[in-house]
Amino acid sequence: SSSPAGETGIGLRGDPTPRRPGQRTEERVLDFSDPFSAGVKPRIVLLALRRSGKPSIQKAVFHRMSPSETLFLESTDKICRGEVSNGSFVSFQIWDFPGQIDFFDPAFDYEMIFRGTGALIFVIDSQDGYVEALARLLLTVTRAYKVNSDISFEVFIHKVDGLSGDHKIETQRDSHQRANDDLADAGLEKIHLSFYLTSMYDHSIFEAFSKVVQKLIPQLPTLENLLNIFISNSGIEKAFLFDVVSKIYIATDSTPVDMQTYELYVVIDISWIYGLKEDGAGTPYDKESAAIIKLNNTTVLYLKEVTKFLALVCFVREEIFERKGLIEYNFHCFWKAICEVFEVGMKVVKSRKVQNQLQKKKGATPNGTPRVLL
Amino acid sequence: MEKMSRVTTALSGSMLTGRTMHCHLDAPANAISVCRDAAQVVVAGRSIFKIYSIEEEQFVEKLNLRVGRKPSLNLSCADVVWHQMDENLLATAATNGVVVTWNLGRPSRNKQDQLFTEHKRTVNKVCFHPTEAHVLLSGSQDGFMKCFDLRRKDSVSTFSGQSESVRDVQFSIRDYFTFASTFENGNVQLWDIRRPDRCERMFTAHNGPVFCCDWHPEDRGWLATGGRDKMVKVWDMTTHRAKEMHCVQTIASVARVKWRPECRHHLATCSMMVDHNIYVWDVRRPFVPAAMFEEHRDVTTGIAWRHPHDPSFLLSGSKDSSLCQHLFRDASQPVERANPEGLCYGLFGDLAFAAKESLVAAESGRKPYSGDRRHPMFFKRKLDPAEPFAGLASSALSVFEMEPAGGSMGWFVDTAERYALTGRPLAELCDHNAKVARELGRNQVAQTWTMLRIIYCSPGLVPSANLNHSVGKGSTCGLPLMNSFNLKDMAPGLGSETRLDRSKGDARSDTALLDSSATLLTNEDNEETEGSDVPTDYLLGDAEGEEDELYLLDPEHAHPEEPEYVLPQEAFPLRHEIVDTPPGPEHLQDKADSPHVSGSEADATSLAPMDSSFSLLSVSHALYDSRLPPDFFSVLVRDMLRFYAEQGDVQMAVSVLIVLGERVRKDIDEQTQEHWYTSYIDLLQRFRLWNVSNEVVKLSTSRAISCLNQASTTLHVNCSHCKRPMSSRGWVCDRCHRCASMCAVCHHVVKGLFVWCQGCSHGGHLQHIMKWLEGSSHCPAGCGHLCEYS
Repeated sequence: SSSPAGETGIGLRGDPTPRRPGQRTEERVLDFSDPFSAGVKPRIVLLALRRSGKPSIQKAVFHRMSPSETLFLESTDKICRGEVSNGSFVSFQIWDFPGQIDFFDPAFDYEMIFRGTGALIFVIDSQDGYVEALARLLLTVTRAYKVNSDISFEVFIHKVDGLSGDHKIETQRDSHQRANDDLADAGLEKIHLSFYLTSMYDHSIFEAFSKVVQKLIPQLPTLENLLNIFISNSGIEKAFLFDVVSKIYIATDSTPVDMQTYELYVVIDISWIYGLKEDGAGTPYDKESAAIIKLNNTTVLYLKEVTKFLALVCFVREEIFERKGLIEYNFHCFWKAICEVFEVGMKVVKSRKVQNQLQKKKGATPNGTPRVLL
Repeated sequence: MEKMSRVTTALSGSMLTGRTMHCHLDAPANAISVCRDAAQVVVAGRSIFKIYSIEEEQFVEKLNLRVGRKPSLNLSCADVVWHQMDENLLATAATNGVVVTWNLGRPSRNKQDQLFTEHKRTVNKVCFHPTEAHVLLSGSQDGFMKCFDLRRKDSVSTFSGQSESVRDVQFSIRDYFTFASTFENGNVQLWDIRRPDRCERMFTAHNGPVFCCDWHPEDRGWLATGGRDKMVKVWDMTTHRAKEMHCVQTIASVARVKWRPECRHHLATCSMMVDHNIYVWDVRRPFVPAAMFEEHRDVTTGIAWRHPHDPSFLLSGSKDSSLCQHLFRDASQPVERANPEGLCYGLFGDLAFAAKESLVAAESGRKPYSGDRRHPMFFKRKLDPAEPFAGLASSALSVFEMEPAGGSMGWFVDTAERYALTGRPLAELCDHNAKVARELGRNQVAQTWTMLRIIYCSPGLVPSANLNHSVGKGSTCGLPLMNSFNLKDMAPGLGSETRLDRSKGDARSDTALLDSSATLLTNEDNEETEGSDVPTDYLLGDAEGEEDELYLLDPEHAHPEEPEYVLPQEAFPLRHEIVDTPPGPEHLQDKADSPHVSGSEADATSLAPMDSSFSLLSVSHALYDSRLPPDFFSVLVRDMLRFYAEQGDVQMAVSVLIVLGERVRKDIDEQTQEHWYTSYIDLLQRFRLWNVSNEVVKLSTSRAISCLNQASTTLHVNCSHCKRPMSSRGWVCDRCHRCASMCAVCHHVVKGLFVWCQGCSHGGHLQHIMKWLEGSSHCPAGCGHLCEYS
């Protein structure tokens, strides 16, 4: 078995899997990777038994492959590391481990893998008897927990589209019960597993990923509050802060997420908005990017660029949208606030970097923390 | 305390009065809560926080708690609750994570009392302990629930929902220490307030977030939950494992749920999106709301019953910036609009009808339907004496049962099973079907089949004696004959297969391939293919016997002509039988009067010399001239089919359609055909004649019908030991690690037809068991049971 690629964050660009023509990953990675983020990049490890649909999940969520296309993906045979949304604000890596590798081969350095991991997603194929998978899950979780107790463990009960309504809940309940019993038997009640029912064919996989990613974002409460203030002052129904690259939302206001609105966004796919600018400017998605889509239920879907990697999507009632100026102004305030959050994060990283450098080369003179501009 | 209890009793004694009314608020409401005295209501929202007093005729604004020049974010309320013991005490949950308590007894304008800033994210819910004066509970988006003692500055205990957002928390009304919390991942947890380290119980209640829950005011341990999956579920928590008692399916995600006071099975719900109405459900009648309030123009965000012992007043706040009081007697009752009359024909000819009880009762001497006497039922519905719908809209059901003998639908099943639709030449199909119809006493249908045969087939036929002869000889005589005919043209695989497999069913399916194409051609060369058809006759055992009678109906001139057609058996090119694609209509017409086409086809075969086939065709050509062409009758046949369909005998229409195939199809428009097919298939499936219905689907030429069989079929298999669903992988059960349904004879897994003895429950492959029991009367599993197979 092979050892994973270097951890520097600059060493590997994109994923080594064959890429379809016209895929954006490459240029994005080249453009937006910055040397500072490498240190704090939350890492997500995707793990499962073979033929559970890991690469499909990754491709569908982060590479906008349609679910039907993922049927033709070959099964993974080597560790793939994908970098996602390497913005300076949010960044994560997806480590996609092939199901065939014996994860606990002594030659395999799992300590190194788990140490820097923020979340471990274990995919269970709900259509393929989950007992074996649960045993494996227990093994993985206990090993990972020993290495890194801060890992958050997420279990995706995948391919639930094949199950009937009641059966879904039954499956979730049963696997939850079994897993927790197993953990209790092993004396590891402290480990908490979160279960999600996911399917490639609806929004559930995106929503589950959103939840996972949100757990890894330390600024989430701040963002949520900002969104709350923003929507209450502008009279907006619901607002999402989306990651442009994937369709997952980084934050939303505290009102419950409605399936229809979210699904709508997922369906629309932000990509066509690029098209508006692509012919003219070099960077298709820039500060001016915005879209207004009128829906037939007297609602307006309003999209606005926040940063290179984040887009704000709001659902506004038509009559309120007449006061667009107010929304624009509020958005400006919101944007400034986001930038401040952003800057603080950057500063922390930067100072940590500088300190590291200082420790390395003792002779260097610290000349104050250089400001990082957005 | 003394004073309080006095007030309560005084209130419950006096009757509440009021009317349905509403008042406009300045901003959308997020939540409402009623004061203990049932005379005041507090409304909270992102930019509103006011107390209204409920007067007889209107709401009167009493107090605005949003004071100060620049309202702080702490006032942007997500939830509000009024203490049920102390009418001066309120608590709000702010979207920025702050929990604020308010004391209305404060002399200053600002009534704010305490401020807890312990939650990091929005607090979704606050809840006072129902009997304890100082205990407040909050549930937040950050996944924590905190319990506050209002005499202290910070929380007493923190309960961790393990990073899942908390949507609702509710103290149990009956159990002092218990509270329930609902989560965004669909879980419901029960906590003991004294044990913050872990929850007492957790279970997955909904698919997707659970937005609300409410404890039943009287029944201990009953919890209603509502979620994004549009369901309201009622759980019984007293048992070891939370048991789902009732489930109500609504049309939109459920935002709030509140039990109706004094009505054991009623609860009120409102939705979060799309639907603006408030529904009151009787959980025992989960399909029709008992009452519906339609006053709001936008989503209802908060509902509260005005008094804990008065079931008729409901208050609600909405996003449309209005506060409403609903009177139960003014509610619209969807049940009233429901149609209480119904009429349905049973599968076996029974007629059931339901009508308003009042109407039925007027008619004397009719008893309510008490179940089918012929087919005993194994369950019995428990009648609730307090059935609340009795007066509302209940229907009495009457059933008229068919006498077992007369008029039942038995003929339909028999006919469907015995009709031959394909696989033989037209004439035989018609004869066979006519015979079936006659045996079932349906003479008109039988006559129709006979006439069809006369119309579409040339009158000459091999006499029945001949047929019977070959049938008598059985397969040994039939098969070699066919082989000798077909060896040249048939694919070698097919030929050998036929020879190998002598069992009736299999041989039929193989030869059907040949004959189905043959039937398409039979209308003019029926006589010629006659010879080749003889061997297949043994396939249908019921073709013998009464054939003679049938032929008596034939016109007499059939017999004189007969010798001419026996002649060309070998000479005729067999090539036609191999033709796989059904020839188009123009091809048929061509053939009828142009010998060249047939000639060229005959040319291709080495069997038939050119001139002999020519002479043959000229004979048949001449024959047609002397008779009326089948086209002449097509109008008549079409009308006949229409007639049968109109009569309700769609079976006849479809059977004729299939048997005649191309001959009539073009005369009947596609839609009608489709309609007949769907009706017939529907009927067949109701009678569980799956095989026949599948055959019909297969034989249909309509695209819409034949694609019915192309939809993927899923087969769910449960383990025979543990009754759990089997995984798709293999035939070994995951749980009990045993192979399901093993054959007792060959010890392999049975994947097809499984037969088992009801005495000893051993069984296996149908064929194996049949074979075994021929030789032995004991069970093949060796259990010593004397199995019987009949």
